[in-house]
Amino acid sequence: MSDRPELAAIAGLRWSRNWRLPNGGQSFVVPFATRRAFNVVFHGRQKFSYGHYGVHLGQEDRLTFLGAPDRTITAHFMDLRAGSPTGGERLTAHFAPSSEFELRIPPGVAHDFDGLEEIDTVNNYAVFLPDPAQWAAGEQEWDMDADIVNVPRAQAEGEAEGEAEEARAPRFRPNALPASDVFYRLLAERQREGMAHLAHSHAYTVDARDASGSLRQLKISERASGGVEARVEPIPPIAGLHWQQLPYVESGPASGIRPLYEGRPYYLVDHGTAHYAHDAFGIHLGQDDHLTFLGREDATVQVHFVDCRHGSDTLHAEIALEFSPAAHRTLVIPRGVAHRFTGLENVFTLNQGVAYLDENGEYEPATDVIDWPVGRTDYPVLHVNDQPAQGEYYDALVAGQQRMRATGAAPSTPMVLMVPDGEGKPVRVAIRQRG
Amino acid sequence: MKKETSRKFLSSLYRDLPGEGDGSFDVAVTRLIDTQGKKAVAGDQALQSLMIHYLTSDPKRATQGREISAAVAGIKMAAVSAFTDTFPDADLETLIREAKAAGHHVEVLG
Repeated sequence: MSDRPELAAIAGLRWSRNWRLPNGGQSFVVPFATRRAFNVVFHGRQKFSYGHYGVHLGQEDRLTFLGAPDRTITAHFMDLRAGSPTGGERLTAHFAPSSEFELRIPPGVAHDFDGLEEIDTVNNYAVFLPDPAQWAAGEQEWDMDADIVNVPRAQAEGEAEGEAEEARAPRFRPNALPASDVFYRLLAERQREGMAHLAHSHAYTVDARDASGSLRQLKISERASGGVEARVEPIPPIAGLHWQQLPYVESGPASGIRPLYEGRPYYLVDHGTAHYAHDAFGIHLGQDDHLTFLGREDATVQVHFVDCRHGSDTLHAEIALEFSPAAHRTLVIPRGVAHRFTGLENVFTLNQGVAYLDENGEYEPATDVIDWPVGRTDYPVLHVNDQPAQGEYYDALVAGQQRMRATGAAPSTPMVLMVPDGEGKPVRVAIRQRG
Repeated sequence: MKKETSRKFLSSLYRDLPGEGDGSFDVAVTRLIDTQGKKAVAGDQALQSLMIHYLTSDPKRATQGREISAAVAGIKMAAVSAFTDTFPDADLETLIREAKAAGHHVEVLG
């Protein structure tokens, strides 16, 4: 697959091509057609390596690596599945981060990475469940709340042909039955509840021998040193415009995992490496943007807001900001607030918007952005939608995306301009590049 | 907990209902019933409560939905000024004509 290294040495380990839509220039939109929970993993700027293999028994990691395309990530794999046709196989692969590809690592395949510093990862994971009879009887190895077994690299890599069983890296029988959407919803509820009472960083397991010499598996949860409590930081003077500081699970001094479990579909915008600036204000009528900015912590993004909401106490108030990407906070832009970003090159934007329907119970997201040219200061006064979309709306949106993806369609994103009709009344016109 | 409720509870967690033909599923359901009242599946009573709530809610909700062809919600392209520079101060008819002539698809939204 283009510049991706071959992974066939380990059964089931593979690359999957993400569905990317052209967004002008080097930029692409990557929709994730799902309402399942997912994780954003950040690794800080200092040299980052886990230093040991991690093995999931119920989770298939589906990793999109985001970072400078000239960076090299080194991945180490070992197949620790009992009965696998490629059991015991080891593989090292080198690749550059790219929004085009998703690395899929089956449960039971041990993995570790070097070179993750300044790389953010979106993990759109899949979950597999144990055999129901074993699960109901409590006979499975899987721990839903700590689905990561750690295996020292040295132990696995020192394993020799014909070595005694006790000296070998352990073998596992991972879960094999795909979970339902119901299970994903329950999992999201558990995460929501757990994060609200977060006192420890993520749990992991280690093997250790007790006083009698028996091998015991320990589940360790380090106490979180700080973390980030969920809180709202208003951005005056525009009412409702704010940052949300969100909790995350620490995985190191400058690294962490932020679970997103709100159940709304999301998409990523890869802005490329060339200069990227919006050349018009964007204004939504039916969506509050929830934007998480990923990328180098020393990048600087500029944004200019203008309140264009009919009836707003801060109508036509303006504010300009500068900020740096951070995975653990989200910028919330209310619908009707015009926004224009510059400095987005080398930055990835993850949007998990909240939709609102109009008085007819309708909303068409694909064309819900009015492009207001920079330099026109006769800012509009706009009526925004006010009915919060329910679960059925998001289900239908995901279903539509999945159908479109299945056809191989990759429509470009539109421009929407406001122009006068024959009677001088403003009309919105959507313009797309033809495929 | 009735056996049918347990069956629904357990089977709803799986994308594809496993092993009903070989009896293992019934074994699992029987064991599940045996554990109820003291501890729930995966040791989590809350999980079961949520599950039952889901099962007793309107099942039609999962199949309802409007046909929405949109793939993405309101994403801006980095090409707007190039277009407005090319067609400054265009009225509706001019914009549609010129945009189509330039190879774009145009949709009037109202």
